[in-house]
Formats: sequence, structure tokens, C-alpha cells
Amino acid sequence: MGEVFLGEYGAGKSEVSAGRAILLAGRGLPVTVADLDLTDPVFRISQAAEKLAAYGVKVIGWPERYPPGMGEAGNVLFPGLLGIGWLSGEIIIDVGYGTESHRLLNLIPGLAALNPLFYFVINCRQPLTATVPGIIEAARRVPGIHGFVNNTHLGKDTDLDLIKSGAEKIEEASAATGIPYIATASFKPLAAEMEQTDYKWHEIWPLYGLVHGSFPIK
Amino acid sequence: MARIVDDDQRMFMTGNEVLAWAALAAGAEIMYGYPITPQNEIMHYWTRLAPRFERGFLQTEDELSAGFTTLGGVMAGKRAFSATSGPGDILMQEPICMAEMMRIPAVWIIQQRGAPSTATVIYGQQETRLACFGGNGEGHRVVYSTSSHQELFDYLIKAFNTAWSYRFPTILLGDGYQGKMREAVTLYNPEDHGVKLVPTEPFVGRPGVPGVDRAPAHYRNTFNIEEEIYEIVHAREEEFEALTPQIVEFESGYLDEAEMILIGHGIVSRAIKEAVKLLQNKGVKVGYFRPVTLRPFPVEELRKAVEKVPAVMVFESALGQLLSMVKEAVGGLPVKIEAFLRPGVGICTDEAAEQVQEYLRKSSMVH
Repeated sequence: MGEVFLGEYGAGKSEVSAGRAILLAGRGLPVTVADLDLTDPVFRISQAAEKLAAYGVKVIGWPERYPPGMGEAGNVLFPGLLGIGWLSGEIIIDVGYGTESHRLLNLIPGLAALNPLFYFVINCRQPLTATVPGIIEAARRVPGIHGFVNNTHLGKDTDLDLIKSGAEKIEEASAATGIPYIATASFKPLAAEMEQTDYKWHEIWPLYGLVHGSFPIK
Repeated sequence: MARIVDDDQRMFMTGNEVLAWAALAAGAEIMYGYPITPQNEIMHYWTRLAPRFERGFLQTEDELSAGFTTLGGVMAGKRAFSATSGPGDILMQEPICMAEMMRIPAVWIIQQRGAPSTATVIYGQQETRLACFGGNGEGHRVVYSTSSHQELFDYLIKAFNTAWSYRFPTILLGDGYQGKMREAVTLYNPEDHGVKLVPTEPFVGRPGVPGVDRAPAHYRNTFNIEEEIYEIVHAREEEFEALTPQIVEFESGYLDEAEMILIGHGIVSRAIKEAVKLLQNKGVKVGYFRPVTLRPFPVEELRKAVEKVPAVMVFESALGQLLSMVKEAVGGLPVKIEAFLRPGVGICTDEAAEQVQEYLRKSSMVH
């Protein structure tokens, strides 16, 4: 099975991909994460490869210092990514650098064989996805989304009410578009608090602050 | 000008996105640009936002053209800006120094990357000298060096007002870390915070008969004889110096009884401020000084801060660009100048604190 994480630039796709990988690995599944950020040399899931390895998660992508790091001027696809369509187990694809990056998926042969689900990560504290029409417009930029993942946060200033305010908007956008609201992701301590409430968070995916530059919450 | 948010909004976003929103808030009417990392998302977001807010964008064939079209936009009376980095910053210097000579209030955002040449697309403070003193020399510009997303927002609004108030080109100097990193910021409408936008006006095509109803629109960057340049450069220098107290900005802390003052600008100033707090908690008497305007440089303020201090340590992600400005500013004072220079590499709180402790330990052994 494959899961593809898409979303606005800076929505938290890599961090959510890492959290999702750990969650699946915790269920005893073999999990591989594919780093499909061809633009940014930083803020990418490959930077968390060592930390993810401790959870039994394998990362395929350029190790730090290896990518040409040319920004928008272009990058080189890590050759190992060409084979992920034939891997067994759970394959998570982190499609970095904004909504338009979904166009990169045609570079991956055999992707269809993974029967991938396309998840759209939303932080309602990003201005472009701060409103219901904004979420709908952003989601329209990516064809074939199977589910929304709520990653509403303000870094270390996040609390349950803030996440709830995002959840309400995503429920509305879900009703309007027919795209299911699949899960709410948040740093582990807040995810644990969420588990204690009756609120409809859908699935709860804990995050670990593994991607360089993410803000862990005390 | 349309309000950009209903009321103050706390958001979590990248610095480049903050700058696109800040330009909207500042009433910018058009951006001229050519892509280069790490400033691209300013253009990406601006082009997504501009149609909604009825603003304009032109992608040109290179940075020379982006810079000169920005000047054209301003001369037509538009609040215009551009953004660039690295090698693009070099090309942009020709239009910037034309703006200096013709007193065109254009605004530039420069997100520094590694240097020289293409180097890295990531980060550096190696364009500091270029941003302050680029061009073929002795022009005048205002340079704000920011250190957080909130400052990116606040100071871009201020940059437009400074430019249009004093008619000097104005630069907001950031870096790739500030452009790409994500942190919380409050977006607001300037008028809600008592910030009035300085009105713009066209330089050319004004009503009335030139020389009869109004002064002729005669903006020159070319002069015939040596003495004209001599007079103009002197007059500009005097005017800039006279305006310095109104424009200059700095930040300092824990200066009383400090055995050493840590000096840094931009994102590095965040690390040294935290290092000072860390050391103060250990009972080490250190303070910090951060120039916010690199041009004009807070010379008097820095001299006052260091006159009773035995030593300063300059921290920068460059090989001595801020350092040379500091040396020039404190010239003649009996202060020892140390430096921690990391071209193209970030500086963390812990290593800044370690450097200071190491120096103080050695200097106490000498005494």
C-alpha cells in the first residue's frame, strides 16, 4: 500500500509523513518513506532518516550533503526512488515543496501498483488555508485527493482549542468537497491529550518533531 | 487600499510567505522579479495573492531588468519592489545605485545565500557589504537587517515608508534561513497599529507645464563635469548624515557592568541574545548589541555601548563584513575586538556562549 502526502508549502507534510510512518511501523508493518522533495535542500524528510531508522522506518532519498541542492534551478531524482513501485510493505511518499509538486509523481514508475491514497495536509494557521474557501481552493490544486489531514498548529503556541478551530474548518471543507477528513496530527503530548477527549478528531496521528527545524512542544 | 486581514491574525508560515503578505499590507502595487533561491516563494506567493488584491507582477528576463523596471514602476508613482539573492543581488546593484543617484524610493528584499558565486542556495550573511555598499560607489541607501518573521513583516512595511519619506532606496536584508524557516507571526493591517502608509506620487507625467506650473521632472544619473559629482556626493552625504538619527535603529541589552559585549546582526543576533541570557544565568556578565539598520550604522550608539567595556566579540556568518563595520565604528576606543566568523554557516546559541566563555577564561589567565 502507498500513501502520498501533499499540501501547501510549509503545511507540515514531512513531519506528518514521519509521524504516519512511525505509527504504521508501530503496528509491525515494514515501512519505507520516499523523499520526493526535489527543490529544498533543507526541511526535508531525509534529514530525519537516522531518527526514523530508530523506529524501524527506512528512508529513500538523498542523504544530507549529497543532493546537488540547487533549489528551484533543479535537482536530481535519487535513483532509488525509481524502484519504490515494486517494494513490499507500506510506502509513504512525502511530496515536498507545495501543492504543485504533485506533478512530480509521474517520475515514479509503478506508482499505480501501490494503490496509493493521496492525503492533503492542512495547517489552518497558514493564511492560504485559514478559511474554508481557502482550503477548498488549495485542495483543488491537487487532483484526486482521498483525504484531509488536519495539522493545524502555531508551533510551540499550539493547544487543543487551536487544533479544534482547524478541525471545524476542515469538517466544513470536507462536507463541501466530499473529501473525507481522515486524521488529526499533532505533537505527541497534544495527541495524548486529544485521546482523552470525545471530540471527533478522526484518527489521531502523533508527531515527534523529527524534521530539522520543527518546533517540539514542551 | 484593501485590508489584507479582517483583524490581527496569528499565523505559522515561512518567512518568504510573510514577506509577500507584508508587501500587500504595505500597499505595494507591483513586484518585478526574476527567480532565484532562496527568495522564490516571495514571488510564488505574491503571484497567487496579487490577482485577489488587484496588485501587479512582472517577471523579467534577468535581475538587471527586474531592478530597472522596479525603478520605472516607482517613477510612474507605483509602490514597487523587487526581491533577489546571491548572484542576482550582484546584478541588482546597478539599478540600486541608479536609484541612489536619482533618489528613487524603490524597495528591495535581499535574502542572502552562500557565497561567492552560486555557492549554496541555503544561507549566509556574505552579502552584507554588497547590500550596504554595492554599486559603483558612494551612494546612499537604507538597509534594515531583520531577525524574525515578525520583523520581516514589520520592517517591510517600514521599508516602504522609509523609502517614500526620504527618497533613498531601501533594502530589507534577510537570509535563506529567514526565508525558508517556519515560525509564528502576527499579520495585521498597518492602520490598525497606528502605522500610516506614506503616499506615493509619480515622478513623471505630472499635470501642469514644466517650468511654469511646476518644477521640471529632471532626474539625472549622468553629469558633465567632475565638480558636479563632487558637490552632489557631498550634499547627499550631508543629507544622509542629518537624517541618520531619524532612521538609525539598534537593540541592546545587559550592557551595565558587562565584561564583554556580543555583536551580531540579522538572524545571528537571535543566537547571541540567547547566549547572553544563558551566560547571565551562569553569572557571566556579558551584554549584546545588534545593529538593526546596517546603513546608516548606529555608530554613536555602538561607541557609547562599548566605551567602558574591555572587549567585544563580533559574530557573523561571513568572513568579517560586520566586523569591518564595527572596527570602523569603534575606531580609537580602547576596546579589544574578537570575532567568531562562520562564512555561509549558521551560529547557534551554545557555540556563541562557548566562544565567549573560552575567551573570558583565557583572558583571566593572562591577567
